[in-house]
Amino acid sequence: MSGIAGSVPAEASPVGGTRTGFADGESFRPGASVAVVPELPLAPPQVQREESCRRLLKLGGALLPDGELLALLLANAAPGRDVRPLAAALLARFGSFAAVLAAPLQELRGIPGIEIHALAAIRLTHEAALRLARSEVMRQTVLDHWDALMRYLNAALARERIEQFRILFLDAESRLLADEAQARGTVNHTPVYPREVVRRALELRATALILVHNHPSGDPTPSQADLDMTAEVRDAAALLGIVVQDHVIVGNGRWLSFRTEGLL
Amino acid sequence: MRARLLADPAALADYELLEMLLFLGIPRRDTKPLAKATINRFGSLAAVLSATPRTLHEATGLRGAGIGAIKLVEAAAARLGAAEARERPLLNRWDRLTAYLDGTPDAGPEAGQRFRMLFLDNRNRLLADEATARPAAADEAAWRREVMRRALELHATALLLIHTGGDRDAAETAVETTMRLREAGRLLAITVHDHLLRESTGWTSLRREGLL
Repeated sequence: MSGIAGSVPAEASPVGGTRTGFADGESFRPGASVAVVPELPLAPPQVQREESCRRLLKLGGALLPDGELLALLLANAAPGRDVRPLAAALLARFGSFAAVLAAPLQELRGIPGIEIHALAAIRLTHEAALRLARSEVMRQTVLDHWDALMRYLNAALARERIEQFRILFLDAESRLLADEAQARGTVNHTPVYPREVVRRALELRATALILVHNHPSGDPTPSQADLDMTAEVRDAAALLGIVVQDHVIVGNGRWLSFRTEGLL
Repeated sequence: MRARLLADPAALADYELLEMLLFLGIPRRDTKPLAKATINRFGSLAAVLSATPRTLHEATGLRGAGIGAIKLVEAAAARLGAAEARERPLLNRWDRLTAYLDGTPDAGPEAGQRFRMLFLDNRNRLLADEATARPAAADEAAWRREVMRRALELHATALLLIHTGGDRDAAETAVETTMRLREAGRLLAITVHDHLLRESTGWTSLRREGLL
């Protein structure tokens, strides 16, 4: 174990055993090498943190490798500690900076050396990043900002372990009025009720909507249930003049638009 | 507030997120007033997060690490939004399975006997890899329900039980747990493929040993 003291105690589950989590390796190839923390001179942690920070502010995040971004995040949360072992362990498990940010709390807790400050910094950065990504599409016209919309949906859904539905409500100019999460998916059950969707659209004075959900398997191909549900919602909405403009399925790194595929 | 952050980050107000981000840079101060004032000045949390380092410094007096904590969010958003065209590990062969297991650290022998459950889809792609302590005999039925609940939640159709921190004897007694788990999974169309034990020589498949 590294010098990071005070691991977060495993959550006691009602079962009487304990439940901690390791990653699912979503972004991890079997046999891939572990550490992505860059080969930099072995500067003391404080110096390294300042140097990485300087690079971030000067070059922008796009030019920094995942390992350096993660090490900087962890160093901010635990100043003075050598965070490289923890950064390496997180990257080995989850595969990328983004995957670490999106990892469920129970899986993060299982990483040796993780402690509460690091957990909080990761979750905080993740939530703030989602809000930033969403701000780029809120109240914007959807078609003119389609790339930004896909980036936001990817950020919000691509790494989720279970199916989640979201509905984007649009006004008459196809501007995004609201983005609302629906109930999470369960086996053999469609959590989207046409009546509820239409009711909400009326409340928001939305004249169009876009359905969104993710496929944790990574493959965005719609199932028959997906097709049926879409038709149901479309028909219910049409009765009140509300258009279902699209249904986007978010996979792992790719997405599918019903409209583009001619499925609507 | 940290407890609220960990429980439900979406429920926090914008200024509370900024308050915590600022705290990373100026840890000994109450950053709430600064957070509110900064959001008012820039107009929104997003505007604060997108501002240049110079503008942030002029507006807040923050330096180095404090600004870095804010700009990290922008970098995070970019990475989260990017497509990661990496596939879930395909664990349909022994060599792939052991390569995956060897490439991922686990808690080590001090953690005692642990089970790691690998949840797979119907093409043997990994959906999740989650650890659990070995249940006491009295808790085993509840543990089985929990495992199956999680498998159903993930839409998993197969499980692999990975056993670490135990020896061969421990594995042989644990095998009965696995067989009961397998029985429980049958009616749910969830297959328990195997029970793997980490030994000093490497990974042992109890199915190959004929013990399952």
